[in-house]
Amino acid sequence: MEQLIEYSILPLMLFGITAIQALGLQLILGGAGLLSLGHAAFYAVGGYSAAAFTVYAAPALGITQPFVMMLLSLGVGAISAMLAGLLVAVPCLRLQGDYLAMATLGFAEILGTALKNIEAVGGTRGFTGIPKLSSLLWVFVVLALVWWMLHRFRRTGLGMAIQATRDDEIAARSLGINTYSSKLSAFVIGSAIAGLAGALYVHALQFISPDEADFSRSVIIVLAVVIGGMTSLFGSVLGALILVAVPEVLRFAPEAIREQRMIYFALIVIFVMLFSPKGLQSLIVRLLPKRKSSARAAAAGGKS
Amino acid sequence: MFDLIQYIVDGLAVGSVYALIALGYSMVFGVLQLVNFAHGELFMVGAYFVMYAISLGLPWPMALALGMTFVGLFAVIMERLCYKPLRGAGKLAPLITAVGLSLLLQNLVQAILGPNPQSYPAQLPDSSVTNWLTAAVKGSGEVVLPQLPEGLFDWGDLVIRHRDLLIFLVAVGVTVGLELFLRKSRPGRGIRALALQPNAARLVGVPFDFTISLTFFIGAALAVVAGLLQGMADNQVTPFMGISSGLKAFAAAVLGGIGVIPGALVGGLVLGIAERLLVGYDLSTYKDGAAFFILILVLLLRPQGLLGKARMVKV
Repeated sequence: MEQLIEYSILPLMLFGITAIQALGLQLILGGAGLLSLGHAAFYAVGGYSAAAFTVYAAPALGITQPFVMMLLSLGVGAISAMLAGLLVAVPCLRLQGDYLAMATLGFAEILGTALKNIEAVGGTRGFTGIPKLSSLLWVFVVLALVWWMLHRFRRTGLGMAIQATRDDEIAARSLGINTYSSKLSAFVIGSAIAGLAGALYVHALQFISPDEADFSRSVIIVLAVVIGGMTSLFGSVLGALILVAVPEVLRFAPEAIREQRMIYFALIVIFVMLFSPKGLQSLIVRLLPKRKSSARAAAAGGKS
Repeated sequence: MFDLIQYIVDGLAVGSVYALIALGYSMVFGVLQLVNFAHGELFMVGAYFVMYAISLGLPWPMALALGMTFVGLFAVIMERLCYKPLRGAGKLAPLITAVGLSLLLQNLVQAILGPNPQSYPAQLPDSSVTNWLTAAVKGSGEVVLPQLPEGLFDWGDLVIRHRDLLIFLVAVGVTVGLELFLRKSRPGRGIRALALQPNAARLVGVPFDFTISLTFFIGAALAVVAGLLQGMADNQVTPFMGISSGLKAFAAAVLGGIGVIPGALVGGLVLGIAERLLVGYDLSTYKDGAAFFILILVLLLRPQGLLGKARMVKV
């Protein structure tokens, strides 16, 4: 039993971190309708700078308390990822078309190349010797906070401006919404959330390599958001769960099935886009809609 | 000084392959404003197809023609099944579908043919199907491998390999041919009309679905030519060649001006030369980032590309 718990901590932690990444991308993809194919790069930026902070800057500043260090490194991760997001998005969002997707992808490739050439953060071998500061508790507290904040964010003026921009850019502009800045803020907030995930990751696994900025990692996050259902926050968390759990479950399946999980994910994504754009969460929501909506109707009736 | 010229000449061959792939990205983007992410995988599938066809004993021109037809039709079917239902559903949906398709093709090829690089002549899996195919194709004659010419033009400091020259000439020839086709032929003019103004093109009787299918077919067929050239030049084919070369080719298309046919050639060549220069001057670890650095620089400074004209988007 104890072994089972010990064994499941790492997958659980990875699930939490993937879920945070997916929530960040959900705001960009589902919220603003922009495709980022380099979300993992912002995660890597956050991870690397958080790690550089605890390894190099924190001792120099005389910060030793683990809690404070972790908290500050979360801030460093989020802010650095946010600045990186700003750097990529400012030129691209001024352009019409799908250039953002390609530019984010390009940024990821450049970042990977650059990280491989910086010896201070380990070069191709990866950044090692990072203190273990985060834990399952940290991951899930941050996940819950991010989820709750994004949930509240949707009802703020900016949150609604972002959704209006996604639905109809021209109409939104005619209502006096600055569509450029609403897209930009969605992208930058989403990148900052990825940075948080990066900071949690490096202090849990005590290691990060340039591969974390890889295109394939970004694709995994896109898969999670789309498969779960890109219009809902719950969908992103569900998608992250599916993407982390399926390989774990398939560990016990025959190799022929296990090795081909990317094929299933790709098929599901195409299927979701063609037939059910709300993703898998809509299946679950459909199973339990009656009670919720009737309760809401009753509440509304009571108020009036 | 001669180093520099030598690197530029060497870069032209690499760039030519990028250019051939970039043409497909450029054409599809011109007509549908869609980045067909799966295009690089068509290049990869084409390279495998031609390699296997040749290893079965087909003469290479026939293998190439078969590959162009097969992969072209495959692209048409892909468009009909996966992109056509999403027309009018915004830009995001087809783009995500394209990413899904790219992932699917890459992993399918990997699952069926193995993740390791294959080289000429490919090892055919020993099964009744392949035995039957081999028998049907050639009886039991010799497999004649396509050979790129091995000779050199040697001017002391400057050396040009015949094969590099050949690859470059193929790319230029294909680009000129394509441009002529688009300007002079009726279906070609249909493609240009659709790229210019879809609704007006429909009104004057351009067959919409047919023209889009044709665009996908031509793009895929050119990717197969690139696949054959790349496969022969490197003497290897891998499931991952599509994603790496494909993304760089897209960068090349944007660099030259996406939607502009000669732009694809210019973009591909510039990119190939840039990569070769980095390798030549001992910066090869930066090579794979170069394409995207150029991409972002172009987006910042001249988003319409080197040969493109800025177009106002009316609301």
